[in-house]
Amino acid sequence: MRKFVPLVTVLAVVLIVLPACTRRENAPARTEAEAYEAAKSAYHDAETPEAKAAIAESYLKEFPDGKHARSFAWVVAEYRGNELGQKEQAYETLTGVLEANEDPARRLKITLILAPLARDLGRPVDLAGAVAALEKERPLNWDETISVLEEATAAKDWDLVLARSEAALALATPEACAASRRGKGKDEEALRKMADSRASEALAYRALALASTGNVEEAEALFAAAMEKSARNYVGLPTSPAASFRGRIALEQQDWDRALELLAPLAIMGGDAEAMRGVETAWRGKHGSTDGLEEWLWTTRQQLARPVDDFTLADYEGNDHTLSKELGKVTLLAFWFPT
Amino acid sequence: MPRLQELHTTYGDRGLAIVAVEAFRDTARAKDFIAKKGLTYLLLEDREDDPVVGGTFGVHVFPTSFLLDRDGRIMYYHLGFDDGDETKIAREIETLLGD
Repeated sequence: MRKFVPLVTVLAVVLIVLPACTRRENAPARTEAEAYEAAKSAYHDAETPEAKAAIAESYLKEFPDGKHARSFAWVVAEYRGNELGQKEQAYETLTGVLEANEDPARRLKITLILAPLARDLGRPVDLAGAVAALEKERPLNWDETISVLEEATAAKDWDLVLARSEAALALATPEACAASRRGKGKDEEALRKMADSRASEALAYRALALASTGNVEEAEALFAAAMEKSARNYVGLPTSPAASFRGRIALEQQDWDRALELLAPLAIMGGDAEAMRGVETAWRGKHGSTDGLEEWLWTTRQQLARPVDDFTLADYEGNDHTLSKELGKVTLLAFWFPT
Repeated sequence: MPRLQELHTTYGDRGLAIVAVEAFRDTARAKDFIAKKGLTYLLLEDREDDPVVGGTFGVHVFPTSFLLDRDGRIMYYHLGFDDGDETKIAREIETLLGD
């Protein structure tokens, strides 16, 4: 009887050993973790976009549904697609990665990386389908919702923007904010601010979609609400895209003064290139040329400039330095972490 | 950060100061990085209690840079440091140094 090996065991041996043997013929079999460690270390030393893209592609070829497929898909889109301009090739790689993945949350993430490339190439990409598939499993979280809104806005898919902005508004409550910050204990005031900031973003997208589909009056009310609720960063710029979106609409309406008022702070302080192009368009529209624009930008910059807060911190020898004592020169103050 | 070193090399003599604050208190890695990349501008470390970067400035995206005029007013701020950004920042530095 000992001669009989149970069928299950035979099958298991065939299933485990056979693929390993076949793989060995091409390349030494390695685990995802090994491939990732190797890729990570090579990536750290890679200096050219080509080298970075190639490392990511090699990982993805072996593990298109691997744990780190999403990160490497991003590397391919960024370096192969954007920096090297080989969008076709990047599109093919990412389509393959998308096909190899079944988990709806991962599929949405990969679709979001693929979508800008598809848009540039005029190829189809089913963002709405990826959203619907995930929603069958669970509601989208805030970050996913905003990423979808960004892409749908860029693709001018206003139906999707309207649907997702409604979902985003449902996440713009202190309760929803508390749920997504679980374990990080936030006080009520902070949660209320966070909810306002979310609402401001959601309303901005909704307003832009309405304005772009001819519903100007309703859009105006939502823009006003969005700008009122928007948080501001340290230099005083709104963190909501409301100002930028409303500025874009003002340009379309040839309301040059409103466009300048909304876009100039983003262009001057934030270095927002699109806002700066809008400012130039509005200035030309108003004055017929760009004469006087430089001076106006400089004056506006003086008005926007706020004094920096002082602080004292130690250097790596333990000596204290106070910012105000270092000033008197033009100073670049940078916040960083070692990568 | 090596890109800041380039700006330091180019504009240091013309009167640009650079102050960099490491936000995560990753002392060992920071020191290693500073030595390896040969960074020579003023490098400070944020503190644990009452942090400057995440607290006073509310900055959570790195790197974030502020360009201050000689009176300590913020004239420009910049998120991230992608390829090509150094040209943008350099232009702003030129403007401020030149007046």
